[in-house]
Amino acid sequence: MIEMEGTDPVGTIARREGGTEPDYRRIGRRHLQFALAMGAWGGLDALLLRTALIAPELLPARTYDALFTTHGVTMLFLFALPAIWGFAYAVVPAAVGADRLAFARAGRLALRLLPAAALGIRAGAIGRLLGLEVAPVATGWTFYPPLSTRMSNPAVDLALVGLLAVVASTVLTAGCLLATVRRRRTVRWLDLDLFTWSVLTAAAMAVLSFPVLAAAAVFLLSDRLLATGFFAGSTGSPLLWQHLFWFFAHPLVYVLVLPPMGIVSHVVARFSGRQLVGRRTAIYATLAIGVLSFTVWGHHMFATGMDPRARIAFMYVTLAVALPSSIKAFGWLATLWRGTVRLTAPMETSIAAIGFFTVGGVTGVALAAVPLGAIYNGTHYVVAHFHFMLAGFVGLAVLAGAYYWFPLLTGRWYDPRLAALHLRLTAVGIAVAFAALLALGLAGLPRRAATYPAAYAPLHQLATVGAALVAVGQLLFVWNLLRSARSGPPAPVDPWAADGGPRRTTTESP
Amino acid sequence: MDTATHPSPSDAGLGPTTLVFAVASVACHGLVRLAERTLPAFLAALGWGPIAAGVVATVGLAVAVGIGGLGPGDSLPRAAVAALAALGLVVWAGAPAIDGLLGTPLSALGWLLVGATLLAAWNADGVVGPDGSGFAATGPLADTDGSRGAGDAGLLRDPRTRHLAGAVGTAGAAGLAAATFAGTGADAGFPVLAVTGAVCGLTAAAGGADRRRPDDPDRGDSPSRADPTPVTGVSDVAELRREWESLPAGVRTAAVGDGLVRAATSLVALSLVLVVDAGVSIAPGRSLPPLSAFALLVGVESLGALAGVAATPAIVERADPRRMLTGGLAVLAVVPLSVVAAGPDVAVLGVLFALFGARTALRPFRPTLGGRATAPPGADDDRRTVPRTPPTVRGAIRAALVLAPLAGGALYALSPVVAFGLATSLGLLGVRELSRSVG
Ligand code: HEM
Ligand SMILES: [Cu+2]
Repeated sequence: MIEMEGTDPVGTIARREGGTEPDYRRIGRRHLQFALAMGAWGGLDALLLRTALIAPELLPARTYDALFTTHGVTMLFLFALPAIWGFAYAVVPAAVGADRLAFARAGRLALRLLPAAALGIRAGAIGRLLGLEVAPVATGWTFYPPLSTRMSNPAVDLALVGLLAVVASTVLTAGCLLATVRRRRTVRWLDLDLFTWSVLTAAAMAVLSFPVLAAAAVFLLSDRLLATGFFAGSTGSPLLWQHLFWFFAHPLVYVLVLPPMGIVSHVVARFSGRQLVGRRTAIYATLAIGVLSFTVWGHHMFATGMDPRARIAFMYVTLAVALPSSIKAFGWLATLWRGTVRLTAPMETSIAAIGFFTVGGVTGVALAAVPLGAIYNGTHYVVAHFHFMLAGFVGLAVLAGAYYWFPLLTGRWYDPRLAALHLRLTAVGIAVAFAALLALGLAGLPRRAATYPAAYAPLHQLATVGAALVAVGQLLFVWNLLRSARSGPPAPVDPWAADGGPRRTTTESP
Repeated sequence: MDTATHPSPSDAGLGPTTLVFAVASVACHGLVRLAERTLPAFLAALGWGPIAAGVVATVGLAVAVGIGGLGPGDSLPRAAVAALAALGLVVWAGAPAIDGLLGTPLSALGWLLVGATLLAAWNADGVVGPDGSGFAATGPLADTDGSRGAGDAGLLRDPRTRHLAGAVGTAGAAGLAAATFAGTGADAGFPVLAVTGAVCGLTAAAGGADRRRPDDPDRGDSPSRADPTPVTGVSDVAELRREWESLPAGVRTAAVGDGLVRAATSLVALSLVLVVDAGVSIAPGRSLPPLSAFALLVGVESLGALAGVAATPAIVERADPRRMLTGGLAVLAVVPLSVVAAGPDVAVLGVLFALFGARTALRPFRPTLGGRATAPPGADDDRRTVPRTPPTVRGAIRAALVLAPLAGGALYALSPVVAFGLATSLGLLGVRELSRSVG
């Protein structure tokens, strides 16, 4: 039933046989399709948001608040997360030598919850499109009280319900993947590939952290609908929300970043023609990130007047988390160094992702240092930091995964020239957009404000140019996928074998 | 399975990246044109008058003519041309605020000049090349035969295709501009156009990055070969005078006549936006903002240009070139004054703009422009030919017309009626000269 190629389990996904597709692959594929659609919607939000910033008359300020909220929530929960789980479903069972999912029903249910999550989270926009009297949520993706408790907009309640659906779906998926590896694995633990390790760690983190979001969302709903006082009044405190939220959300960002690290590790090793340098260390670093990232949530709250001693403690654990992250980066660079590099689309995309990871990491470490964080907290600098990580690293790594697994999932080649053009536009766009935001942040411009002094207009315009370039690039990506899935040249069973791959003129470097 | 089944980049032809390059270039072209045409309104919103707009256009044109004067071998790679254009548009978009950001003392006008300089390579040598609209309509690149231009995307190799594509791009950009200006004023709308154009330019740069320019022989079959001389070519005034004096009197008169008509066009093209902006706004009960109306009019103009280019072969076949030329240019000459007279009547303005755009149909017959003005083989009726001026004279005319937008701006500052009336007088004078030479 499964065809496996010796040394590279992730490189070969069981193919459709006799018209039947294994459950895990179907669930994975559907997750990916969902993520693609939601990514388009979230991307459209971003494009409108950038337009509102350069031509405010075209979109009212209130819309701007809604746009950055729905953009963030959509990209994190409806795009990045499902995309990552999609790859995990499609790849991990084959990679661990399992013939099927354990708890396949959980996986199917997780899939079915996604549209419900989308409906809830995007209820405001959907209602608006249907002409109803609701407005999209405009609280920011962090739903901070008291703003989120005071807004009477019913779309906020629906969005919180949507988040509960995300939690349920995620926990089911994580449980399903963990159980599959534990019960159906036929490969020794230490022989598991790095992508599988990263998925395992992320799944474990998700199981531990997402229920906290569920609890916080239930409390907030109760404050809103039942007038309880968890986050307000004499009994509660808005700070409680922040603690709960960031205790969940910092692990969330590592749930989102670890599997992409796994993809990059795999792709870099594969197209350098060697094992990842420091493979064992990389596995330990992954696990270390998993544990440590539960201890650093306070670095999002430096501005809340927390006890200085706690601040210093959070600063040091945050710097400690940066350590295993940089170990990973060094492993990639060392692998590339002296490797026999084949510049395929997944490889080029991964290399660009490593570049953005470095910038995101450096800007993050600067934020973690208390004195600097105090200055840049709440400015566009933070926006630039996490977008270098999320768009630059997570986004590009997901694209690398898409190119890498496309021939395996569809049995066809994508168009390598379009892929190269797509990558060029995406990387240049991200660099331009977020370098501009970084400059705005360094100049002290606060984030989440629709208006700004005139002198900053050129930087905002530049950021808009970058964002639109990314959008153009993704149109080409989707076009390539659709076209190639139907009429691309057939790919061999092991498309990435040393002599394989769609050729471009300079695929080989000494 | 063997690697032969893998797609390879040598799959020539109209691949998807070529298509992306062509579409992005055409869109960029259109947006550059719209930005150029609305620039005076943008400057007005910033508190600058028509003379400032004339300065920007004249400087941009001077650089473009200088670049056009370089030999074809000196051309920049087309990705670089597109990237420079994108940069120029970004500078335009931010012009009013860059000083505040960087602490430079250039003022908005200074940055607009920088942007115009960056855009010059695109105007001289871009994918669509000079096509007689935008700044090009206002100066020496106006109505050139499109012999320059890196339109080597296969699609766009032939100048006629290029002009068609350019008109389509301008029409599309005009639609976008109309929508933008319907929601916002010149001060915010202009940067939106410029930013969008920059995105298209960068997309073109990315799409064109791995393609080389075609070998020159490839383009040998195109009519552009008929006039391969550099655009300026006024290296030596004495030589120019010698050449001028050696020309037959009929050719000289024709050159003067056609040159006057071109000067008339160049004087007013840039100010049209100001006329419409001022004229339409006084119309009562109008829902469309004047700038939006102007953008639509530019769209109509480019449809006129499209029709003109499309009709050219048929006209060359059938019409009597001399009557065509004098008649057509006479109509063109009365357009400026009519625009001022039309006031707020958008329907009349639409007709006038369409006629203004349709002058592309006359291009082959014009003594200082046409590449195909000679008689079709076999037709030895000399009534079917018009005089053609030699390349040096054309270069001199182009160089002289660089100053037209500045002069036009100054005249407009004096009085719109004076500027547009003078343009019409000059145009009619030119037509009279022409009819003397061909009659
Ligand atoms: C080298 C590792 C990293 C360090 C040291 C770091 C540090 C920080 C710090 C200190 C903040 C708080 C900024 C503030 O509000 O003042 C922050 C915010 C953020 N970081 Fe990171 N970070 C790192 C990696 C990542 C990664 C890998 C991701 C995502 C994949 C990420 C996503 C975010 C997000 C989303 C926020 C902002 C949340 C918000 O306020 O909306 N970071 N980071
Ligand atoms: Cu964090």
